Amino acid sequence: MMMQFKLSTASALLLLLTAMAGCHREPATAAAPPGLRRLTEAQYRQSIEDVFGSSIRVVGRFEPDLRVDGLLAVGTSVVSITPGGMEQYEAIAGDVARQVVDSENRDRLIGCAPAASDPQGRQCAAHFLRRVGEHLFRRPLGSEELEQAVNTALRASVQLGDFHAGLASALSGFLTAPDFLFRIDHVTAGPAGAQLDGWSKAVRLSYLLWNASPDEPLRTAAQRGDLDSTAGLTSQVDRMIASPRFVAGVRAFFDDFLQLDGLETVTKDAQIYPAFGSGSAADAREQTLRTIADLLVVRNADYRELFETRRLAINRNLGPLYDVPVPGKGWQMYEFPAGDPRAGLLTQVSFLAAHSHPGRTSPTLRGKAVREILMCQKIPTPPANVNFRIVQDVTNPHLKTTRARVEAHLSDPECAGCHRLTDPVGLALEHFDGAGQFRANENGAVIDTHGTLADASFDGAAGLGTVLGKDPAVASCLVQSVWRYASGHVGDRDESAFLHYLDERFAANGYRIPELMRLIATSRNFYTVAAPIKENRS
Amino acid sequence: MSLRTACGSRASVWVVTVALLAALSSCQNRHQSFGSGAASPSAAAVPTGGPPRVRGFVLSNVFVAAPPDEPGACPQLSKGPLELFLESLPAAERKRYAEQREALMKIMNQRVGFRAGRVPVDPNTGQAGPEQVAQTRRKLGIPEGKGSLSFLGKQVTYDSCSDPDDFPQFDRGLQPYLGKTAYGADLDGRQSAADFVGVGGEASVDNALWRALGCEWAFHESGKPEVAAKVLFSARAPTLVEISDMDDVRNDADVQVSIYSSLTPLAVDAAGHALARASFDIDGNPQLQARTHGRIVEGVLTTEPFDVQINYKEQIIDTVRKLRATRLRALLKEDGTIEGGFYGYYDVESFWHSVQQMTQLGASSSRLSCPAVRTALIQYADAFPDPKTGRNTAISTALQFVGVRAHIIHRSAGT
Amino acid sequence: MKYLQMTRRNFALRGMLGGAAVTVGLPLLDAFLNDNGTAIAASYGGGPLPLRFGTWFWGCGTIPSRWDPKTVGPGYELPPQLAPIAPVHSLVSVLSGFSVPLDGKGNLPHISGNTALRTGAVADSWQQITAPTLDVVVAGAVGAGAYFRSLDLAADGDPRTSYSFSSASAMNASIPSALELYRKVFGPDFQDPNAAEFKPDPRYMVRRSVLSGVSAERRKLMQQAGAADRARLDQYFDSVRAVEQKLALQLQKPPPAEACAIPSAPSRSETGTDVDVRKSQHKLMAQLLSTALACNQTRVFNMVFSVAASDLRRAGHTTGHHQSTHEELIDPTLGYQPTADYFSTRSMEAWADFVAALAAVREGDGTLLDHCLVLAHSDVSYAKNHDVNGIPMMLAGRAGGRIRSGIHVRGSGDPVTRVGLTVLQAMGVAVESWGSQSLRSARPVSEVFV
Repeated sequence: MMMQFKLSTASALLLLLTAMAGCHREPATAAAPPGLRRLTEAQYRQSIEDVFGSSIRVVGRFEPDLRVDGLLAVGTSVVSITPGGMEQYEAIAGDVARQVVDSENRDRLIGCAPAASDPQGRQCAAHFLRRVGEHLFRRPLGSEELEQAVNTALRASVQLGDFHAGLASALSGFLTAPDFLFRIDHVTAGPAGAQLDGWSKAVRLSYLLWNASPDEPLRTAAQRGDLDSTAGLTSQVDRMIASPRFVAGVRAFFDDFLQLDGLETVTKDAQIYPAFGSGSAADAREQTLRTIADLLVVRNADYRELFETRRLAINRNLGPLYDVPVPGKGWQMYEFPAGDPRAGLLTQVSFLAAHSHPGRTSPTLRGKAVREILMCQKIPTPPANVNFRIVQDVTNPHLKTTRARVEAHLSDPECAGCHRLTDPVGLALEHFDGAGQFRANENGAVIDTHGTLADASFDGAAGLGTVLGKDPAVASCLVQSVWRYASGHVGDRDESAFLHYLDERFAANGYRIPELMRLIATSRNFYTVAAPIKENRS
Repeated sequence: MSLRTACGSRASVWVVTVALLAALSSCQNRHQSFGSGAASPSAAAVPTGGPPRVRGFVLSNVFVAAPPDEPGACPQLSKGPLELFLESLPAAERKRYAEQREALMKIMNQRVGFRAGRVPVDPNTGQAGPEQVAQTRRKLGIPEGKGSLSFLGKQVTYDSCSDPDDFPQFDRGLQPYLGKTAYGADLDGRQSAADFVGVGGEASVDNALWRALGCEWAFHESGKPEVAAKVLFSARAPTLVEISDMDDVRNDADVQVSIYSSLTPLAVDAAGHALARASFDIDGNPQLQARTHGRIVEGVLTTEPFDVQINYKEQIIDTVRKLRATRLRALLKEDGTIEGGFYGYYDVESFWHSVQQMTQLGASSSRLSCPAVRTALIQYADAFPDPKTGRNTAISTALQFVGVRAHIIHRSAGT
Repeated sequence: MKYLQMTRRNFALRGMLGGAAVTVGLPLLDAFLNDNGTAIAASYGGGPLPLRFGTWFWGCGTIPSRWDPKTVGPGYELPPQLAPIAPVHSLVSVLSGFSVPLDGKGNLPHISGNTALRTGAVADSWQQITAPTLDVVVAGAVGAGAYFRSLDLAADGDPRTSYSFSSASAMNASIPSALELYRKVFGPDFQDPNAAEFKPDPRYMVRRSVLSGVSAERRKLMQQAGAADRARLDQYFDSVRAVEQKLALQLQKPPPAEACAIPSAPSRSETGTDVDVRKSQHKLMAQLLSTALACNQTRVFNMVFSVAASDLRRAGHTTGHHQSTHEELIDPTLGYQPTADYFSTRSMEAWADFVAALAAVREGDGTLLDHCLVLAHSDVSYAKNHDVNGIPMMLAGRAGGRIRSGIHVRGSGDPVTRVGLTVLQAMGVAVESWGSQSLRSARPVSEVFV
């Protein structure tokens, strides 16, 4: 049937085309089984802060999170809890609970006590445990559940001879329960089949946008069923993206995506890099996260600018590594002038130092990080029986530059296969030593920073940043990483149509992170769930 | 109407157009404002390495340098109060206390009349205020007008350092330095009998301070550059040197040289040395700032003579070094560090103040007798006579220093 | 070798005779039964001393020509890299020449050798192993009954440094410093086995019953969960149960341990990659571990001195252990890589420290080490080409008299699983073979059995 236009202007046609492009139907992904995702250490701590405030200290060692397919968020769908880990959780839970019922905190956090009208404290316990339980479990407690918790509290208070100690025991039980330690999806029967209940939707949404458990307005919306309608969901998404807490969510994503937790174990040789002190790695991590928050959230810039931006957060501790005057104490933004060698994420200490050796650079490690982390490409593991005879040039043992030293990686056909993927990229960054400090030359020799990446040539870090920005692999890697971070899906699922759709929308919206998050947070696929597969247990 | 129905619809054109327009507005990306909306301002665009034509340094060690050992320069090193007091005892007591330093100090304090006491802290302010000081003085029985505050204001002392004239029995035991060589420069353009030959062979070196104190045990030992460079670290309020208007770091006929005091302490790096390229805030007190001109020849910076006061805040010392008609001369080394000295006239009272603050306790561990040092200072002072008394108020000297690169912040933006 | 099988009834009797009667009104007996209802050997309090098992790991192997002893049997001569173990020579057996047949799989650097040695099968990554590591198997057999099922230690300060896995996704994280080890073992939950008085603390009762409440959730959650998640929930609930059992132990007076002397807390100590710093932290941890063992706080332990791609370094040098193994030229006069040799030798010094720490504690008729069996190994032999043939292995301790020490056995290319099988059998795990495919072995190293 032919469309008869009554609007004669070309703009109407343009509007039509634009609107149609923007209104492609979201391709459906195969629904995944309900999620069971263990809280990360950061999420656990955030939960305690959300429920009890920041004065409650969480002290102890957590079971390490597991990185699967490049993301800790995906690992949460794979790990359980070992006996050693459970010991830790039990100890931490006891300590948190003790603080909560402490005389300093109990009025503020519990707000009731046994009284003449409630001599055993049953009502008080029920009131407290219901409120706290809902917040901790991220869903309302069932009446039996609550009853059991109250009974635990009262029994314990008899055995220990103290109401508050008894209450702490019940609280400790909550903190060691799977409903707290894991984000457990609850599936109900809906009109179109299995669907997530409102609370489960709230949890997915809240952890994506804020990396925290749902706050009160969101819990209320979940309870009311608002999240089942587009309008209700969109309203919450808007609210949460406009909130300052959205920064925490974006930070949490990039901390995972860029594998910044690696900085926790970075050490540098004190003689070779004396300016890299014990606090430098942690500050470098914070620097990158603040820079990202400023660029991609506050200023809502194009993601690809991250590889070229000359504006970064800095403090006096990091000043010596960057060799610039830092005017104020504490964190502040710093803008390097045009033409300065510092430009983009790849010239930040967090990247340079993490992917180097303790006493020197490694173009291979840096190139590998660019490929694997930023482009989602897999570099094969090196063969076990590498013939190093080639690398050791016996005629000239004093090779002045790193490029000269690793020349054999690229000239020998056995090595070049993989190294041509990594080394040219890493060699572009050789003006920055193993601690991320700028050097004009290396052992007196000129540093050559030319290279190519998929037929695009560049010189130096800024040039590499521009080329990366133009490579479609970079944007699509970001998109698929955000999706997998959000969903926690392990990589064996074919979601390519949906990812392609997200890629297009990301590009159409100027490669903006908040918009991408919004798109996922309001998508159908984010909330679909398959009914769990049952098997007979013998 | 849901988004999907509008897109999939086959209704009439107008409905489609309207629906599409409506859908467009909901598909369009919304520009949100995040937080305050305005991006936080960023610091001025200074490139890697700091502003061009400017080079800043922080002096990690400033000290009175001892020249290499010379036989016969010091037939006898100095004696401190304990040694002098022990000498004064009858033979039997001398034998008894020779190896018991603590007990000796105790009876010395008792017999000679040294007094010292901690000033309690005001419970309201957490500081030791004037009321508390007066109280402590009364308690210790310190005569009016005598005694002084020490240990960074935490103690009141009355001893041979606070009031040297009251303890003339300790004005002994310090011999002048007899050697031929010392650090320094020719300040007065004349060759006189008291002059030295410089450590680098310079002629007519004026360093009367070294004549006076070169055999004082603490200066003799810790003045050795290798020792001083490790031990005498100026962390709390180091001195900053800024060279500006500089076109070439190796050779430049005219540069500006500014001396500042830092409000920011100097940190130590992971290898235990002064942390280079850190940022320092300037003390706004104009008395602690000075400017002059200089030139650089083959990497050696030399300035015109100028007056300058630099902080001397190390360990329990909290005073300034007041220097007059002083030149700065230093080598700007290839590794980015600076090594050189201040060559000029040290105000006698200013120098004395730093000695006085050691108190008898500190002086005893340095075998330093305050009265003897004071007498030597006055005797050897060789410049800037007081118009009324005719006595020289300053003494020629050389203060050596080493330093590392620093970024000097002229305006603190805060956070 | 058989160990004492006890029925529930006579165990109860022994429990009453062995210590003060404990009346807390809770059925304690099931705390001491494993899942099959067989009682754990209550082998102390007058009985034979408990057997302990441990592993010790160092990265980047050796230079085989300088490590493999040239003579076999007892009194084997010590080649240069083994010179540091001279003080404990008679306490250590060397097992050289045992290899990892790859069955055509790739040799993943610093992974294949280690996964094969510990799990009996080669894997592409630790997250893909198909069986638990052998220390976990041993802990399953002998670990219960002590407060800690195992103590996993890393001298490098990183809790992720661990080669102890219950399953591919369940790594047993390490205690990364001496201070944390002290706090964990001798902190507020420590029960002095030699204390004259024992009063069961009701707080442990309460903690335990709270966890039982958590366990009660099991059925409901399992009903909702899909198949894959059930396995994870299973693991979670098993872990809850393990902690319940631990807490139950606190309610019974621990049997006396004469060799137990409670140490003082270590002052804050450094962790780092500098080899001297590493050795010093490691020694401190070894000493604390010995005390923990003597106080019966655990029966199973793991110590990682350096990771497989050894991170050891010397201050001021740009190239560390791992890099040296690959990049360092073979010195033409010496005939080997001097820096790589240096670090392997220093690693052997650390091993000697470890053995000495265990041997320093007097226990029963001999030493703590006499009642231990420690398997030390690396991930490769010659690290330059990640050679998984002839992976260096050593045993220390006599496992209560079952094992001979101070001998050298050559494996002649036999699979490393022969050694795994040996230690499993020595510790009383009822297995006749271990490992899969070419790594499957039914022949323990009989030379080490007494």
